[in-house]
Amino acid sequence: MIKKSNENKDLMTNSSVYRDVASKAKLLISLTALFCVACSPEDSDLTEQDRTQDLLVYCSEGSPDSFNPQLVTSGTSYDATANILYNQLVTYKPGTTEIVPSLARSWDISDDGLRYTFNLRQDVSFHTSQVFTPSRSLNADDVLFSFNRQRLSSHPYHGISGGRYPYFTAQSMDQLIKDIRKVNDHKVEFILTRPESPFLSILATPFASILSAEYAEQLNRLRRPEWIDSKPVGTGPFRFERYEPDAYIRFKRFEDYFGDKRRVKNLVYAITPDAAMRFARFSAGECDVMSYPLPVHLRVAQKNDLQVVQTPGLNIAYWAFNTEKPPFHDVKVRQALAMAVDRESILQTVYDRQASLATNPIPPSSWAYNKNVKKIPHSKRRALELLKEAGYENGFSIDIWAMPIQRAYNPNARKMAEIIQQDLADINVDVRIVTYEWGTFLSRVSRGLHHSVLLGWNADNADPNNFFSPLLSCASSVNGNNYANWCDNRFDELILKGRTSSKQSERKEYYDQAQEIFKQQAPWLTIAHANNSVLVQPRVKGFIISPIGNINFEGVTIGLPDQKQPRSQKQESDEVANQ
Amino acid sequence: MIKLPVSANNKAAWAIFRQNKGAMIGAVVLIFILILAIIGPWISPYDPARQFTNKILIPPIWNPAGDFNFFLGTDDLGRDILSRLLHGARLSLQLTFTVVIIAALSGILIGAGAAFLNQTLRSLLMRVMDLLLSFPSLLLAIAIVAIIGPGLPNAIYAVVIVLIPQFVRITQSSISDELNNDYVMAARLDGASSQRLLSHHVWPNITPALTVQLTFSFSTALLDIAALGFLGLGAQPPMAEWGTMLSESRAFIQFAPWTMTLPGLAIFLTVLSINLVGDGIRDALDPRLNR
Amino acid sequence: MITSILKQLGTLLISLLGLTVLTFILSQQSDSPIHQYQSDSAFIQYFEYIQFLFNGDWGMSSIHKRSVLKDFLQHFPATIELIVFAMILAVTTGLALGILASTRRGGWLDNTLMTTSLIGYSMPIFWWGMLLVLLFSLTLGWTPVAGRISFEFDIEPFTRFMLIDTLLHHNKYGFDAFLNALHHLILPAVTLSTIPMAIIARMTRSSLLAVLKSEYIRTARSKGISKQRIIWIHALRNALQPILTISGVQISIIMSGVIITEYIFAWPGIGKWLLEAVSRRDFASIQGGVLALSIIVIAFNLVLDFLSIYLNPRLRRPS
Repeated sequence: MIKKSNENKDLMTNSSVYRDVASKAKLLISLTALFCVACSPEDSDLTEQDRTQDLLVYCSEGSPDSFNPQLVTSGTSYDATANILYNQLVTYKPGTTEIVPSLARSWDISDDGLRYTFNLRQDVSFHTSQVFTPSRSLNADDVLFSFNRQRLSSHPYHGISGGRYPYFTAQSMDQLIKDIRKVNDHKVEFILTRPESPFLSILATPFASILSAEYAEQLNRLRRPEWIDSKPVGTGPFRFERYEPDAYIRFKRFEDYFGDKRRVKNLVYAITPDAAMRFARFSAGECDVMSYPLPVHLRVAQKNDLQVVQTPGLNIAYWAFNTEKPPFHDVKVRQALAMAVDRESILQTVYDRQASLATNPIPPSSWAYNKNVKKIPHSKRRALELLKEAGYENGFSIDIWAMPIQRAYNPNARKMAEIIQQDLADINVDVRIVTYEWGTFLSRVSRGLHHSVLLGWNADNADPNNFFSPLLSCASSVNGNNYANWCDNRFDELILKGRTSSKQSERKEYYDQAQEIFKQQAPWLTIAHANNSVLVQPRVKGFIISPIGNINFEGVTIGLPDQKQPRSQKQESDEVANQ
Repeated sequence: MIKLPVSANNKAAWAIFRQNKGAMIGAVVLIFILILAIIGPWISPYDPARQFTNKILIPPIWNPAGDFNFFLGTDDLGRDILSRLLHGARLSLQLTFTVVIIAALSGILIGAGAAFLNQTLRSLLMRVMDLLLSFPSLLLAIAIVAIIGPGLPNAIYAVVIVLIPQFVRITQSSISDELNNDYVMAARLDGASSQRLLSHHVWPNITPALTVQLTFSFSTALLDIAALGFLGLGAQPPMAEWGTMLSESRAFIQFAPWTMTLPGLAIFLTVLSINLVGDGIRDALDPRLNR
Repeated sequence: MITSILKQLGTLLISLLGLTVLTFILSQQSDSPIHQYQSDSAFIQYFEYIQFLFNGDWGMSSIHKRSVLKDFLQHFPATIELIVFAMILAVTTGLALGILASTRRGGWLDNTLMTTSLIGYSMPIFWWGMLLVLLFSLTLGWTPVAGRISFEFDIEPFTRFMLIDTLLHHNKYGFDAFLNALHHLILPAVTLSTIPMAIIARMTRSSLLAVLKSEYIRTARSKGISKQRIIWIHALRNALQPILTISGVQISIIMSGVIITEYIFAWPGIGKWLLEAVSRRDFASIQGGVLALSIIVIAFNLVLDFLSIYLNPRLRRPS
């Protein structure tokens, strides 16, 4: 049974010529069997070959919340906007965490670290849409518009589309940026209130996308300011064509793009929230690139010579104990629970080994990673001793909230919770697994209603601060993503120093100490750093995945179908059973 | 005096039923499934929640890569599928029984009460029941689950509410029919009390219709519970409910088809055998429809 | 006749009342209020709610902040297209099978057909759909896995009925796009039509058999009218009545089925939309979806009732 499907997959991925002919024939057969429609497809101007040639279909995991990345925080929305429709002042070199110029040609940082001056490119044009034809290229006004809309509550566009800029607020940008000045048409200056070493990394994130001030003015005249977020205009490699909610997004190549000229003509996001369905569509050749494959999909894909594009991700999956609630206020209990969990088995079952065991909150690829921190041993005996010391020898019961959706860093929190449930049963801890729909889940967790929670974090910029401040600082326990509600003053001081000092060696020092405290206090059990992976059909050339996980189709092309080669019949045994 | 013909009827009905090949096959399969459901937990090789982490997605033994320790293979967490199916049989059938019994009791009570109501109230009640009957059961269940939240108990309430109207309708209409019959009229003129009328005259005559309805309700309830589990609105993982197992298997249908085919087959066979038995009972009790 | 029409209208009122109360309760579950009410009393709020509904304000979805009514109307054509196509399939095939079986009553063909229809009738369609996908889409590669059309066709949604929209793009793609859309429709439609098809086949057979046994058909036969003609003209016309009656049940089966089918095939219709709304507890959308779908079911039943009153002389006569 399985062998059959393998052979079929080989055929399928091998040549689209075969597929085209075969599908046409089969279509006719199956149709005529059902109807007596006596019409054969007429020859039209475009052949099927032409149409598929310059089309790239990306099976994405959900509908975007908005087409303006300033308004949202979801990766799904960023993937459909930040690197597709827009550009930022600076960006990451594809596949790395290195900052390179984008809309800004170059920049200067003053010695005190308070002034950042950007020289803008002069050859950047905005998209033309049905309602907008730009009369000028990008200049400093656009940069000012994009940031001031988020920054100044007096800005005419501030209140449009809800008036909330969650990422801008979460990064405390309003406190950090004192002023933004236009020096001349192609030079802007950011003045900060304090030195912030991650600032360039922050400007490379989606919320810092540059929108057109001219478009905003025109929409104001049309009295349709909200179109700026739903009928997007940017400078990016693709322009927006159409969005059918829950079905697809269509983009067209932007011919006047200033960057890489190599791109497909039509880019379609086929919205397919269900991972199983996504993989089915991918393996049937209905999409060229598939987002968030499940680990088990990767294994099958590798066996079938499909391209798996993979890189260690800048992410962490963790189990956060709500330290404000008993019994988690007791550090011994936290340590005991951490020891009782067999993380190796989680890596095996949940990640299928497409991840590495996490010891610190930041992944080993970060320069701030502390190698000297020891990993927590897995020992049920030691866990029982600790519980006894803490006065819980008779056990207790806890809730684990498992995030309901699949993320690269946590492909299946539910399964993870079930494994933990089994492990904790051995130390007399009774686990109830709780889950809600994602939006509800997040809002309840933010309000601290949870007992303990399985979550994760995908960095949106490459600076180590992006793990510490948003997830573990005292400020973030009040208003942010610190779901352990953990506030340790020593730790907090260290990460603040790490954030403001400009020398990397000094910063490393502070972060090393912070990681020691974190391990000893155990507000989380760190579980895994997952690889970022995407499945790609062989005909797709030049697809690169970033450690941060953003999707980018700049420079990606569709190759001609491979020449039909006699393919050796691979005798593959059942790939699933064979491990 | 009145019981005699009924039991004669029963004998005749049994004779007809026995000759119906399909119904007999259905009955045998159904009894087999029932036995498995009852003794399942004792004969199942493992705990249905036990995870063999190094035995993930093992195919059933007729596949060359199968493992003799796992007769029907394992799922993606390394849980033994045979054990899960056996526990699932008990769970699914238990739920179905509970749902049908609750629905039937409430439905019959409401229906019997309605038969003695005055004309206007009765027709109002019946209109409401007709309305519920014509309402898509899944849509109703979704609305109910949306109000009270997903989860097994709530899914059960939803299915019960979906099933009740059919029992009300049948009870009410058969009682009304019977009450208008000549012999009941005669008994009534003789001075028989309502209670006596119901238990001695009406009840024996409406049981056939109710029995048929009851059988078909089993298949409806089983399917609805499984469907809600499949859509993630009913039983939640890691429960070994058949519909939930099916829904969990969706991620691997290409490369671990057994995780999908086996629970589905279990649902299908159970429903099919119930329907076969139901057809047989209907034909046996209502010879007019007999071929 | 007038009394029965009045009765129907009475039913309609009761159903709309019950329905709006249900959706009103649903709309009250939301964390963020869907409508801004003037009054504090739930009773008066209900009337305000009705007023909002009449004004076309069905609330905004909680996640995507889109108008619920607009969302519904955008997703609805996909569902209708699937249902209509599946019903055509079910009725034509079901009738044909039923007639075939009844003419060869008791024969092996009759037995096979009836066994098949019992199997179809007992099929859990969520499993059936997955089996079909596994076989035809993933193993044989004959049919697409999901979606309404291949993306190489850039179809602007004028009507949102893909079959119509593709025909409107005829000058661009010829019939290729239309055929492609049909191709995408086959597997979901087959899945959805299975149970109604089985029911229609069984109904047709049994009512045809009942009619064929009746007095006047026997007379007709004795007059030497051919069997084919009797079946086609006399028997079928008489047998259609009970079939029509059961269509009311059909619509509810189809509606339940379409929710599951859309879920399995990622068909961007109302069912999938509603399920997603339930999973994210977006009560504005749930309330709107349940309301709109129910109104459609009620309207359908109403039309059906009128139709059967009109068709059935016995019901027309005042009793």
